Amino acid sequence: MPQSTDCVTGTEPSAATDLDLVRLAQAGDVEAFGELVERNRRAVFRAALACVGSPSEADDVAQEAFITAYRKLGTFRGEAQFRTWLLSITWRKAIDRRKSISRWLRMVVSPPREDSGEDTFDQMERIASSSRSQEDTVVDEELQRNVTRLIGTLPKKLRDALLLAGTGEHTYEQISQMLGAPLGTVKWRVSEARRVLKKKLSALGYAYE
Amino acid sequence: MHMNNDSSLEHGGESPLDRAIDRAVREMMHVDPPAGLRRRVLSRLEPSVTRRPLFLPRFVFAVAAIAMLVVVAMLVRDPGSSRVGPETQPSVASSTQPRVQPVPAPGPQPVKDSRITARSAPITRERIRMPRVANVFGTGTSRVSAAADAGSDAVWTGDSGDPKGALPNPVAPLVVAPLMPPAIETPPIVIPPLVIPGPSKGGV
Repeated sequence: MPQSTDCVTGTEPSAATDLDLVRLAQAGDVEAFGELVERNRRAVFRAALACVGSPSEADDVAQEAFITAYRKLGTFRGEAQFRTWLLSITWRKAIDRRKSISRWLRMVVSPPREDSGEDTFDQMERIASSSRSQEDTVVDEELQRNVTRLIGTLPKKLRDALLLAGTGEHTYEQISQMLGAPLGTVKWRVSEARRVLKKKLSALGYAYE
Repeated sequence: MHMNNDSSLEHGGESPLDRAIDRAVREMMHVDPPAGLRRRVLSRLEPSVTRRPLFLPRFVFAVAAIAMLVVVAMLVRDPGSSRVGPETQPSVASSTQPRVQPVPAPGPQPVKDSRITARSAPITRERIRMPRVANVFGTGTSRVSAAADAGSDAVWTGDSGDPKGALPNPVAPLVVAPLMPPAIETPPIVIPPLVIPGPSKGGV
């Protein structure tokens, strides 16, 4: 399977694989790297978004990740997929950004309630509310808001795995590489995150079935 | 839905809470990146790519310009450096004497005061040949023995009157040709116009 077709990113499929483009970019072809950016921009952006929770922060992280990847392109030997390698860079950048955001929030805002990521993910709740389609408005909005808020209260390890699995852009193998955890552990974290969420929702009075 | 892996619970038997979780995660994560990410990334890459080729010519041009300035400064200063005497010994000579004195017409002329003559002679790099000294202490009556050298036509012009034995041949005055520094011809400095190539797209 060509590397570039792991996840469709909405661009026109090209005959060149990611590895071909990487070789061209390593030879100094900036446009080839631009094509790599185009192919992977959504996966990179969503990985960053899963970590930092803010689209503007995720955009910054995505740019940093692409620039870092370009500078380190000489170290890429093609042993892994380019996207996996790129996502690992992205995740490291995003973690650094999340730490700096958390530090800033601790300094400026009041201490977090249950989990340090909750304040950041309040913005996600607004995004989720604002981006609903007309069909979705039928669904209980209060339930959705509660779910979104409770996702923000999950432990980071569970939340990261749940959100990355929900992007529609990353395979479990890629998530495993990004998080530096075994594949089985990632799957368990996703499952555990869902279990914890349902438990909390039921505590709020929502029925299990 | 698309929890893209086997964690997806969008199949028969999932609870409303499972659906609510799937929907919430999807709405949180299915956000597209802002438009122009590729352009922004490439615009941040381009300067670092195109800066390197331009750096060397600019550096070379700067060095060449500095070198030219130094050369011009040296050429401007150089004519003054040929007048070593007045500039390097300015304190006494230049303040008390005129720098250049008209040289008298060649030929033997009586010297009234040898001290004045010696002082007013222009400073030159030429070797001054001194009269040979035969008897420094003289015979006891002669006050100036150095002038007793044969062929010397120097005349004692001391303050205390005529010497007892006037020397027959007075020392001829030193005739020094006026100092004529050679004209320095400096070719005009032509600075070629600087042509800086514009940044090329792609930077390669």
